[in-house]
Amino acid sequence: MRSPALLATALLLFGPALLNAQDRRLAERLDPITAGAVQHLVDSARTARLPTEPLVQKALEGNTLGASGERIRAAVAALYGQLGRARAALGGSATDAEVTAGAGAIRAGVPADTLQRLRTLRSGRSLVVPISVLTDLMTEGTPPDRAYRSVFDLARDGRPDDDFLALREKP
Amino acid sequence: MTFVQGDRAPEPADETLRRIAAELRRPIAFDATIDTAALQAIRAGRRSTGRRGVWPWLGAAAAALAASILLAVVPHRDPAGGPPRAVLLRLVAPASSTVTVVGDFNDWNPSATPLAPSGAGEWTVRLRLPPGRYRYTFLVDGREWQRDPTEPPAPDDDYGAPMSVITVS
Repeated sequence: MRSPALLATALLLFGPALLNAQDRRLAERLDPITAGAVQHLVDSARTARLPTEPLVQKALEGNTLGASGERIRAAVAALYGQLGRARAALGGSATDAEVTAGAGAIRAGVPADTLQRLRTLRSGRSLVVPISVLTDLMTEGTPPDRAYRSVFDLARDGRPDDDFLALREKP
Repeated sequence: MTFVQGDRAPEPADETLRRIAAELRRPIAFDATIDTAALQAIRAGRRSTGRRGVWPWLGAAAAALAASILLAVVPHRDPAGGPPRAVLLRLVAPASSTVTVVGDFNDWNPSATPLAPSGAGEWTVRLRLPPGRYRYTFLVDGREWQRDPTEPPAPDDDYGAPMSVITVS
């Protein structure tokens, strides 16, 4: 009678560990050291409730582009930090897509408090497009103050995503 | 009249009392089917008590495991909370013999998403992507990385190849 209960208990104890088993894609495409290092970051990200798929994709990108293991590990670690800062700025309710977009914005030089302000101005609506457009404007060389002001104005007015996307087309 | 344990009742004086006393002294015997039914009920009760002892454990374990799975999987399943949208990628490369695209949407697999020639040297592929932001680049003739000139450049080039980024709303 106790065997099923023991089995259930074992599943309880080790189930999450099984779920955290190494991502097959990493094991198949990366050298063991790099795969292990990336998997460690993926597990840490899951524990910290950060999106994990961007980390896997960053590693696979490096593999496809012929980067060394050391370079892949550095790139994934940097992205992990950016995801963490984005999560801290956008809050626990932010979606994975918002956090991922936020990490890209931080990478492009957008300050964390700018993301926080955008969250406040556009509360309850997706930030993926506004953050992405802000990132694109910064990447393309728009002066930061002008980029922030343009995006903030649209967010404050509750404008739709298409209006944000149209900002990229203006001279 | 008070009886104390161990005392014997007095012998009845008349026939009626004697018959009553005899009836009372006769051992009580239930119908045999009642005994059988009672024993079956007792046995069934024991078995069901045993099952109740296991099933709550199994149920709790299953619920906890299901919760673990949900916690581990749900946050990564629907990152933006929207349905996939059709996206058309295209590249003008008239002198090329093959064009493929690699990106965050196909595990950066060069053979997963080939573009097809659509005339006038243009290559296209139609994808369905959930809302989000995706980095990608084209691989031309299996050897040249070329970013999409119609979409913004990605802010990061960790590995030295030109990248574009597309935002799906």
